[in-house]
Amino acid sequence: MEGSSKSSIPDGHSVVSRLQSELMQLMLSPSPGLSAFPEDEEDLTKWCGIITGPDGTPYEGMRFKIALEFAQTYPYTAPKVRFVSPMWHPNVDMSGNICLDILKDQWSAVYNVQTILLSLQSLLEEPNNSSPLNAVAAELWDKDMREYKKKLIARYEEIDD
Amino acid sequence: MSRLPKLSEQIQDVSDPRDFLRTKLPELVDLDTLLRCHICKGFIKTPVLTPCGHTFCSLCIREYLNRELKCPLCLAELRESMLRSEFLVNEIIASYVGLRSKLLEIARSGPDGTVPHSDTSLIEIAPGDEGAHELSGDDDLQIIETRRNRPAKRNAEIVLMPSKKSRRDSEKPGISSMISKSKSPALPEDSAECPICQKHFPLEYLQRTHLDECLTMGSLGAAAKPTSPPKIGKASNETTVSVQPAAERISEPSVSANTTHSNRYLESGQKQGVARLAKLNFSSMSMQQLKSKLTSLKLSTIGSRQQLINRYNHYEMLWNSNFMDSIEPLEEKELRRRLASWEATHNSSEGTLRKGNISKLLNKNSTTRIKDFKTDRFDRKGWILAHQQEFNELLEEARHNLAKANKMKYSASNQDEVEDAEQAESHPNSISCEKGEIPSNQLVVKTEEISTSSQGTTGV
Repeated sequence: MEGSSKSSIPDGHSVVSRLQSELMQLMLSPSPGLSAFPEDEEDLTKWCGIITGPDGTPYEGMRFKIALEFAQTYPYTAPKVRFVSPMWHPNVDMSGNICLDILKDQWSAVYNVQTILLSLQSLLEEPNNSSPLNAVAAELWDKDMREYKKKLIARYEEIDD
Repeated sequence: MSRLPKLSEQIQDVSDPRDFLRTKLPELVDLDTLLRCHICKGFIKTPVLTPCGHTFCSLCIREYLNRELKCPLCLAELRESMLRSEFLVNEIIASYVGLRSKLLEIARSGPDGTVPHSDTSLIEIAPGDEGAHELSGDDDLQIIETRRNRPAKRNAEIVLMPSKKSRRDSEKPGISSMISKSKSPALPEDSAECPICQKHFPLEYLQRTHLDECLTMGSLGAAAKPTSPPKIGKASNETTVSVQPAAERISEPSVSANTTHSNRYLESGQKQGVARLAKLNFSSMSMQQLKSKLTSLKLSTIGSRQQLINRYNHYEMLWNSNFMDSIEPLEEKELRRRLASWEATHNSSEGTLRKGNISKLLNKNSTTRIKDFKTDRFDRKGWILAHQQEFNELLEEARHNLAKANKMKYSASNQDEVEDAEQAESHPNSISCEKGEIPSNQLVVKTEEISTSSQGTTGV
């Protein structure tokens, strides 16, 4: 009846133990511009992450909330990742769904929360305009950066901590 | 009870390479990282090597290859049949893992190089584990120095304590002679790997002489049950002579402590007699064939077709990892137990979940369960029947706690309360057995709360 954290972890093949390690890693060596933490103390399979827009991009200085949801099959399958904060980006739709190869067919079990958030940061830097989810954003990114930024600022909501 | 512990408690035992970051040996972060699997992030269990040169836990990579036929690190093409077990890495990691907490303790100790710990920890750490030799030169130095400060133990007085320089010098003739010697068709038992320098020597030489030289410490290294006088003429004479009496005094246990992993490695080899389980082409199999396959492996045939397929696939993976890769294969019985524990979390439908045990239910999906629980949809009778055993255990525990609490009260004097307690003690039984039903609030509350609430109802 006690010590359920230990007994419920089956032989090192558990999404929980893997996520515990990842959390430990993030806490012990945080990367600048990104953070992530489980939403609920009792459920390690739902995390909330925050990334900062990279310098030199329209997203500079902005912070975006990201939801990560891990299935029992993690890390063999990619977590479900989406933007919670309103986003304006060629590869993100209006509901926050993300089109990113490493979250789909290019997922590998060696990726982790940190690499996902880093990939999202670089996606903000370099959108993949050949297969956009937001065609208007893709077009503006190539043709009218001022208008792009305007749209972005119109949608952007600051995170209140 | 079955609530998950707080996050901070959950992760306080999680080890991480960065545990060494702010210690005297930050270099160990690198080693600690290298010995971990990139899939599960834990220390590699039953390591297997891919043709592209990457190492993973046998189970992790096999699970991965069920979905994707490439190396997760470099994306090179990869199939299960290409995996090769790495017994040496297995023992290195096992050895390091056994040593880690001590290493951490030493690395965290006082900044002036003095180690405020008992000598025993140093003594135990020194002889054996492969982890120690991974220390970079400076760290090695540090440890040796602390050892030298150590008060003389049992037979230190009869052992030469050469300076590091002379140790290195005296080593040379020994090594070269040993290497040439070990090339002769020696039986595996006759040679062993030095846990300090990792070179191979005939066991006797290793135990009698070499370890001492490597460790600069007789009481640690020369842990040998003497067999016959040294055959090796070239082994540096003065050490051999001085060590001999020491060796005779040292008891058996220290031998195994020093050489377990090396011996296990030397004794490892291809296992005979157990065949690899094949991957099945389920699309061409009838349910009947599938069931008879599972039956032949003594596995359950209950569940949907997909569950049976999952069951076979997972068992095939456990089996092949165990019998093909593991240095010490487990029994089939244990594999089936592991399969069952995997199924509890990964291969259960809603239907089978309902039949599961209480802790599993509460752990798994506590919020929805409890929600159900408060409505009439909840099948109380079924629940009680299914969990009778757990309830009885809880009640037993509650009664025990209550009795204990009352004993304490009693010692502070009050007879009435004891009577109350006795009544309360008998009450919980009647709830579960006579009425066959338990008020919903009592199922989810902690045991102490059960006792208080039943105490409350006694008076009525």
